Amino acid sequence: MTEPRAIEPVATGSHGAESELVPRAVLEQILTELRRAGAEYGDVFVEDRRARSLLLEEDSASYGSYGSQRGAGIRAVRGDTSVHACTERLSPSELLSTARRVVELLGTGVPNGSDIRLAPVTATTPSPVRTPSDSASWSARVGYLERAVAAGRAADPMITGLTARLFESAHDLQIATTEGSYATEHRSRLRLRVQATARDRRGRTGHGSWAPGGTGGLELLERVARPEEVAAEAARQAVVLLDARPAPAGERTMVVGPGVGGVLLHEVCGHPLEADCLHLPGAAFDGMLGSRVADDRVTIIDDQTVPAAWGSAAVDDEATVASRTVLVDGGVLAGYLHDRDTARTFAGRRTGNARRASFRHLPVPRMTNTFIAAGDDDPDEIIGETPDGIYARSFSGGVADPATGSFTFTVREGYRITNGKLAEPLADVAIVGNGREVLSGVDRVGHDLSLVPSVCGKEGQKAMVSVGQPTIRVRSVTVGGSDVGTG
Amino acid sequence: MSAQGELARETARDAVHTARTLGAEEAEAYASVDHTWSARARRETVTRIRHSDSCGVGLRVVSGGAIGYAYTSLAQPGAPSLTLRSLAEQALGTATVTRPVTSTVGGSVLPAPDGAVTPVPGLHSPELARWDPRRATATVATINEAARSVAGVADVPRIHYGLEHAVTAVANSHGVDACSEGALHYAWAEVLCTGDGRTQAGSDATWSRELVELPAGEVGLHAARAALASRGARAAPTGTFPVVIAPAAAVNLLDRMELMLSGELVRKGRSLIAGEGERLGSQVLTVIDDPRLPGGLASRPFDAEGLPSRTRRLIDRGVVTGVLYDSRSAADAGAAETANAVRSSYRALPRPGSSNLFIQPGETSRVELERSLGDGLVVEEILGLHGTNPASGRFSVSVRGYWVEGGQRAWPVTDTALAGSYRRLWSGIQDVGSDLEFRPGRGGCGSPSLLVDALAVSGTAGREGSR
Repeated sequence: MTEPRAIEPVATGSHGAESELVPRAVLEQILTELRRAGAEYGDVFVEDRRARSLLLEEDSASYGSYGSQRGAGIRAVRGDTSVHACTERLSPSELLSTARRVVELLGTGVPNGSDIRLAPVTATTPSPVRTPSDSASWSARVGYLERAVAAGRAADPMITGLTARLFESAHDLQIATTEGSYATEHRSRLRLRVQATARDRRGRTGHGSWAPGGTGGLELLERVARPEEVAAEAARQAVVLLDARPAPAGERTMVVGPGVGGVLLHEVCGHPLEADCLHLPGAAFDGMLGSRVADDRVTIIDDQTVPAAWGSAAVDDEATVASRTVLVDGGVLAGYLHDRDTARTFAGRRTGNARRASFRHLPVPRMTNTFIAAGDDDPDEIIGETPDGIYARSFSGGVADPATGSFTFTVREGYRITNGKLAEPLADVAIVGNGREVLSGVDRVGHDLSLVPSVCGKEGQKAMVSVGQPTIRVRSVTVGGSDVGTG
Repeated sequence: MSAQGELARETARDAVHTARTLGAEEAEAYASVDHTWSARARRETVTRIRHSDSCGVGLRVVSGGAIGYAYTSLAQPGAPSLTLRSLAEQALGTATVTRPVTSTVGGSVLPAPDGAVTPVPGLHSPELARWDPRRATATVATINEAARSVAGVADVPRIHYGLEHAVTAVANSHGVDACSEGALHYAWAEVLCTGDGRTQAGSDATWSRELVELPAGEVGLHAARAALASRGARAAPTGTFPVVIAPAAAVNLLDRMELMLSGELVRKGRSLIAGEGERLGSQVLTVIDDPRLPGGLASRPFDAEGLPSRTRRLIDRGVVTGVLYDSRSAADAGAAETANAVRSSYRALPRPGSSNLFIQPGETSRVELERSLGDGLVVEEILGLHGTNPASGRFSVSVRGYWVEGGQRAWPVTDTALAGSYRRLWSGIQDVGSDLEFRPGRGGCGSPSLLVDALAVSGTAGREGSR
């Protein structure tokens, strides 16, 4: 059985200066034009990304895919209005004409300031690459997937189907702003997903899926994403879920397992703390800085500098140096996640959380690696001290209102807790509630913190984030309606 | 065809030719050129304007009987030959490590042309493709004014106006050679009102493929009325009750049905549907996929592999009569291809999917459906379906709508969960409304109101924080 791994420290390397996709002088010229046209702020985000994926499906197809994209996004801001345009043409003349289009849409303003001179931002990558994606052969990748499929097959005779998929991306970025900041960064990510199907003699099926990964190169396949361990975990889930059933409705104590269980926190507390959500009606944490929102055991942190984690980077997408932000400090609300725009609107400090899905998108405040910090409680004791409740090991998804934190979540793999022991497996259990209630209901925090990768969607933009937590207990949640159907 | 259409078409043909020259046994290229414009506003202030030009090509090759894939963004639709050469080399490189395909049709992996592609009317108006920022400003102002003219409205925090223009070209080495162009513009607004200490939100949207003035004022008014109508919303009673599912909510269910109808998931046993001939729903449930609806949201003259699109009846009076295939999943299943390949962009390989999947409407009006509820629930909005497992088919979602007593609307409902299984839901449909509506979103699904005999409703009363 594979547990999500605890964060292990990795030595940081120097922040590499990659070859310039667009000469710095051209970026300075564009930014100067934006200012002359009356922009209060402007930036250029240049990106070259390569993506590889390889799929191996037992007894069926296998596919490989290689993709490359290159382009630039140019933004100009005045007052409350931002204009953004992107182009895939990186020649100086095309970039300048895109900048002029941005300026035209922003409308004329008072010329602003003198020529821009860019100064490099000093930042250290939390994710040095040992085996670059661009240097590895396709056949080496196939070997890893074959190891995963063989291990999944060997895990249990009831496993009837296995799919292994490797995703890699390599990004080279240049970010330049009218504030004179200039950053280049190479970001590489890798994730291995194994899906397993189990079938028992009664014809019931169970499905398991496990997908660890991180920032770095192919070396991650021998660390957090070892094929054998990923496959064994997917197979374990598939077999457990053969016999899982929904839970009866009612108020229950819920223990949430480490790692993947953190997706609930991400949705119901993380999004409402992204400062652009403070505008929205019913915003759960608006005006609450300094207020108690949880038991003093609860500390919540967003940290883009966690070594090799899935959401890590040296700088954010506005060239602000990545940082660690304490959101809840010993139960007291201590901060929000800001980009330049929200820091200005809410008189906050920029926290390095401006993120964009690509050069085609405007940055918005996003989580990076967001987690509940490890506490002092023993995970087994937390379960042992729960006479009756449910244990949620993972969630298959859910919906939460990003402002209020009201949510409906479905437990993917769960267990009934009876007399302090894990009992029969549960699945498709709906949990209904509200983020602030969940947060204030946390009464135990374990010491078994781990982080796992997740892909977060917001305003049509994907962001690679880590979710995570140690084992926690929530005093009471509402388990939704029971299933009256026969299907 | 516009100049960009011609360039996209040439790029697709050139990519196929290059791959063949470099030794691919078969090749297929999918080229797209997209322009999107959008404006977001808070009240009357436009806060974000975005313009994106995107152009790229995806190349699928067959080499040694195995499939390879590569894609690249392009600086312009007419791609230089060096770019296409490197693209083809990358695609061929991935084919060297993948296993040969085991299912072919007449020895071919990629599909052969299957009849002529004929245009679907009403998808493209060339005038619309030209963006005018003044149009956005005027639309935003009209929505804002209309919403704020309604007494009780507190704020109009979000107004969106946008335009999308897309050119798609597909060519393959068996003679597939298709190109199409479409554009649409849309507006959406969210309106807030306050009452009894809680904020209630309402929203509405509209879209058109014609250069007509969008009914922006109506969007503002409808969103405002929806917000006002949910003032004082509270939980529904707990129990098993008949339910009317309104079109806006029902399309979310259909969006999940698309997955269950995927021929690939059916074959792999990952859908609750086992295959054709199976009874899935009641006699009144007929489901059609119609990519040829004139001016439809998801209409298209050919599928993502360039085969002529066709209207298909997938569920006929409750019985599954067809599932969705792209050419690979059809070959794997030993079935005839059905031209249901979809791709999210040039970056993705084809997969089976729907385009304008809808439930055939009946004769009963919405009012009559609600009257026949007796005591029951009207569901206007569903949240939380994404976690549903298409294999188990069980769902539990939170809903908003109205509680009905004696056939009359009694109070607006929030803080309420609806649970069950899709099989139970589809087989429990007693009647289908006459009010078919298509809603923007994935696949552009459409549905009339549905009357379902009994579903588990549970009010989670006393919970605060929903809005």
